[in-house]
Amino acid sequence: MTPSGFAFDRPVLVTAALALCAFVMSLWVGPDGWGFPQNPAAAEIVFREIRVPRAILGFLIGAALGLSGAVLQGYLRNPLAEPGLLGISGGASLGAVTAIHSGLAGKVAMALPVAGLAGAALATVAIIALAGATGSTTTLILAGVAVSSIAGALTSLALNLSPNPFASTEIMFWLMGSLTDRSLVHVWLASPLILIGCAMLLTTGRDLDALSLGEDAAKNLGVDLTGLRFKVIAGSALAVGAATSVAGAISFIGLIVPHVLRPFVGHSPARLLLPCLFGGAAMVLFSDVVLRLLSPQGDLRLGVLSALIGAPFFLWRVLSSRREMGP
Amino acid sequence: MTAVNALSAETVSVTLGDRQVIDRISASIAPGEFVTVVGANGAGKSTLLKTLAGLIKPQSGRVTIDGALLSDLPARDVARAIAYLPQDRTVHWPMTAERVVALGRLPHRSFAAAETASDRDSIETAMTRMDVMPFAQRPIVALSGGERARVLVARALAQQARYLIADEPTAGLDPAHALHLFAEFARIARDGNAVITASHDLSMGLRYATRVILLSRGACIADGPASAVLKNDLLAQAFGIETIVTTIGGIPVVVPASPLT
Repeated sequence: MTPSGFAFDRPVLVTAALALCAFVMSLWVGPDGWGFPQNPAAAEIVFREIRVPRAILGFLIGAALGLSGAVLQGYLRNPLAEPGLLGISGGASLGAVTAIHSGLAGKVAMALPVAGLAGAALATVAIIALAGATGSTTTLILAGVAVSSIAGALTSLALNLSPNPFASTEIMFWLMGSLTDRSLVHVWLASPLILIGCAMLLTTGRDLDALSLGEDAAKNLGVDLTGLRFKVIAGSALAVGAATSVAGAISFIGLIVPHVLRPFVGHSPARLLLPCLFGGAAMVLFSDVVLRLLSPQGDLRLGVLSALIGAPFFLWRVLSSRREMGP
Repeated sequence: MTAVNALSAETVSVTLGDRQVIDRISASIAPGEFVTVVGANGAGKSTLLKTLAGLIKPQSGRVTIDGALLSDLPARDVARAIAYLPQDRTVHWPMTAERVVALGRLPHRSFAAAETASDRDSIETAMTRMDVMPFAQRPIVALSGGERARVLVARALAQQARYLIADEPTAGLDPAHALHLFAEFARIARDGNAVITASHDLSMGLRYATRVILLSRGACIADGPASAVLKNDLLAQAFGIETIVTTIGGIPVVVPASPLT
């Protein structure tokens, strides 16, 4: 058992098995429950054009949210941190909503995710400009709160001023997050960014472990705090920005997955990373499977369901940690 | 000028915010020495230690290690040469004591490498020396302040650096463990390492330290053998109190007597 580095120990194997299982289930389920259409030609098209992109996106988006949540909680040394805190998903949402509001999304299919990416990029630039490349974690949190508030206000403004009720319904639905009707083009657009972002985040493990002792001790242990900050912000921006741009805001995954898994890795921030990557993927995929079984017409949204499943889980963690640590 | 085999601050000045915290201080420690930095609150002890550890860049002057400029060294080489134990004993996650001690091995391990036998050995030796074995598997948050302090000293020892810088390591320790820690630091120094601590325990400094550096308002007012520095006139100047320096049963003690009027 090593406190740092990539130990392929039990939490990693269990979460990876869960994610794999959820991935296969996601391929197997459709609007008519389990299985495929009778017609083999139709089945092949459904599998290739609908199920595979949906499962891959579910995996990548969940991985991005779970991993980014774990890294941000470790970096900020705050168990309440989550990917939305930096304002990057707020920026991505604002970009996508602007594309719907302007009608651009209706004319060009890819306008929506591309506008989302542009929004995420803009939010990232704003955060770095506000919080700087060095500086305290408090500044970073405050900058994130400022950026997400502005993005949230502008999103509400777009909703407020939406040209017709259909547009506002579309915006609201998009904001709730979904993997419905995503194509391989979405996969090609998002996956390189998510993979690069996750790779950057996975390199932060030992630095996050050292940071458990505070910034001075971490620096003495050889941590380059400026480099770490860059990897945390840029990695989260790429992974979460791309995830939000294709799927909308899916709440709670980045907050609760690290919470639930932390006791199983001895509370080590480094050992938490891989299990959160797989755990996030498993949770998004399972939610998406449940969603298709409960609501084949697609009127229940993923972000709503993930919060409905996530909140009780979180409550259970809060209660059990109260029992462990005393009130 | 630059001493070989020493960690030296050469006429360093540090300004934090708009306050000049240390003013042209020169201080150095060499292998075999156990140096204690004493002085009133706000005299600049912590800042001097952080500057020696390379955590604060001085506005003027320079810090050298074994003849080389400290700021020129790669972070990992510094981490292997100097272990720094902060005064702040916060550990942010409820890891076990053993896992906290193991963090001291980070500078010795490559990116994805697992713990080696020598890592294991250093961790266990450090834990045994600091008497933390009995609660090695307990979460750090469940330990008392003094137990936590010993775990963190063990973390610094596990780093196995030639220079150990400890900021008030005995604060909050019971007399038995404070005595043990000073004796342990003296032993580490005799083994050929260098130890520098900030401490308010003048008697322990007088008894165990090979040298004492006395700071007052950011300046170094005395630097020499403990018996030459811990004297009434210098202590009066540094702390503004009358002190009694004597020996009881062959053990040197410094007792604060009364404030100077």
